[in-house]
Amino acid sequence: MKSKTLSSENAALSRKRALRSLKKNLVSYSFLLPFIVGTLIFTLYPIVMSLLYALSNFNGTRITQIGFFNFGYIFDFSEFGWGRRVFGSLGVTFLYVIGNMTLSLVLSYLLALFLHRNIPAIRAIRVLCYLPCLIPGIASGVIWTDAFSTNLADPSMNGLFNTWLMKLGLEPMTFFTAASTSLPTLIFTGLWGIGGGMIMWLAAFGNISPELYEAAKMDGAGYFRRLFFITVPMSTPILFYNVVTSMIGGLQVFGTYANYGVGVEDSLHFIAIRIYITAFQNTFPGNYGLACAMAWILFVIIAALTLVMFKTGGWIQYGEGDE
Amino acid sequence: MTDEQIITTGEAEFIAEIKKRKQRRQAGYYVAKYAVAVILVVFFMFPYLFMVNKSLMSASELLAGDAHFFPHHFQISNYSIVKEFWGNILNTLQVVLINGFFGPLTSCICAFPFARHNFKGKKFMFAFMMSTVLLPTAVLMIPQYFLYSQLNLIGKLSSQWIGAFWGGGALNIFLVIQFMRTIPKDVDNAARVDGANEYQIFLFIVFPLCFNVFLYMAIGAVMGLWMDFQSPLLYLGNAQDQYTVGLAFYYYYTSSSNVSSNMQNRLMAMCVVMSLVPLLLFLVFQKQMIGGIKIGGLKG
Repeated sequence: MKSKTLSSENAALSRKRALRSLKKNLVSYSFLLPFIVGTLIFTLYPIVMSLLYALSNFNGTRITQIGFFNFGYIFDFSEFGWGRRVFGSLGVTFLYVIGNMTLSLVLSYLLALFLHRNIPAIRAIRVLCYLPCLIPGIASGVIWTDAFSTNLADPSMNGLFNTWLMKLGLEPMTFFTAASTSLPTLIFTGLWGIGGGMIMWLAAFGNISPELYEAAKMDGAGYFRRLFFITVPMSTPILFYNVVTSMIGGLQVFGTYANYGVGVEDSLHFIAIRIYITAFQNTFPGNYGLACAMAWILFVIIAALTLVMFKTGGWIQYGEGDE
Repeated sequence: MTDEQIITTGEAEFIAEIKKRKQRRQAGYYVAKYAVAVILVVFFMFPYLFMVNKSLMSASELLAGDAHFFPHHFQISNYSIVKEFWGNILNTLQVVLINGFFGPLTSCICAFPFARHNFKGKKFMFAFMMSTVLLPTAVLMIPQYFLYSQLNLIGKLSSQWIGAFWGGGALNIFLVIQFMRTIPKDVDNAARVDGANEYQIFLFIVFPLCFNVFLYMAIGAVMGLWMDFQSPLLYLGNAQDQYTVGLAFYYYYTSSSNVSSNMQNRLMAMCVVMSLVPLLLFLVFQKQMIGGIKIGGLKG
């Protein structure tokens, strides 16, 4: 019927199709434009510069030397080398992450288990348990430095907790004023923030299909059997997600600097604070190259730990998923 | 279908006895549960009560030492400290409003093709986006400082909201992707048949349906930045008139003249005021907040 040959028609059609798919792709990418532009300017360019600084003696205006010497300083464990300070900071940060994460995940889980029941006013109780999470970090820092304040010289000027301890006939504790107790105290104040985890666990419990529990009940499984064979395994994906994100966040903890500074004898001198101080506080111009080198070491640690977690993620139960 | 069973008196008594026992046991459980609940609530309310009580104490009371929980002499005038931070509060409002609107908006825009389109390089872009989560802010901190100084943003409030227009972070985009997937595709297919283009579909169909997650991210941004002090500390330098509340309060708090214990009541009054914003936001938007935590935590 048509005068054109089949092949040329096909060619025109495929060209048209290619053009259309190109246009479609371009439309998709146009939506991504903010992300692409922002990432180029505020992430990729700084990454390249950060690497360059880490491998140089950048002083804010110029570079006169290039090499791995910054990393050399970090691994210099002699008496006045940076090694002890940097790895001391990393150690403190790890202790904080491990302590904070275990405490908050385990206790928020227990709290959620307790609050996962239908009793009158349960919603109000849940909200009240969640509210301390809403106190801004710097404000809660003021609260805890005051409540945990210690004055060994003049016991009458002790903070509230020490006053209560003394009223109970106990010795006042050092809390934030001694290197050995300041990190445990900081982790302890994290107790008031477990409400956020609780809300999330409750949401997770709500997503477990009730049929599983009914089937288990029919088979005569008691509360604890149901807990350990249904509730806990079904919460593992969210547990995994939270372990990963709270580890990444915890390794970068910086907010404590506002209230506790670097702590007594560097007991709260977390690595992010060390990086900030090395670059912007100690000297002028700061030791930008060294600070960037520390940041890269932190990045390698975070990436390696995340990789290990994903590789060892066999214990996660992805059952019942609809995706 | 509703056949009533005929029960003899003996059986009825037996059943009543069992019911009574069950009720008694349940009452016991209730008492135990509520006792634990009360302890929990007292524990979790402690920081609030402590803060509010201390903010009402008089200076002489604090100087006398002997820390106590309830104020002996009420002193409302502590709250006049807010006046000193008024300019900073306005600065902060500007920062949180810009970030709270444009951050979520660009997150929704960037999430749309991931949730709805099949385009070349989608997998790569997604993996690339998620990998930015791993990057510590510390790596970017120093070069970003020099980038901002090249752009002449140091010491200017604009340094606090310049980052709001670029997608709002990978985790937020991911959250919106997960949310958009729950919206049935039939809706936009119907619009496509009617001749709507992708921009119209996003703007008039998908984006309005994302309102809840938009609100969640907006509130999250406002809460997160309301008292942020890390980024103002880095970029605002010595420009005191540009300080946000978090940074101004930080300097006020750490300056040696204010750490003495007789100033704690005024500091606490400011803390109460600063805590009010997140608290009110949460109480008003409770439903969206908890819904958002669910999407964020569950689909990860």
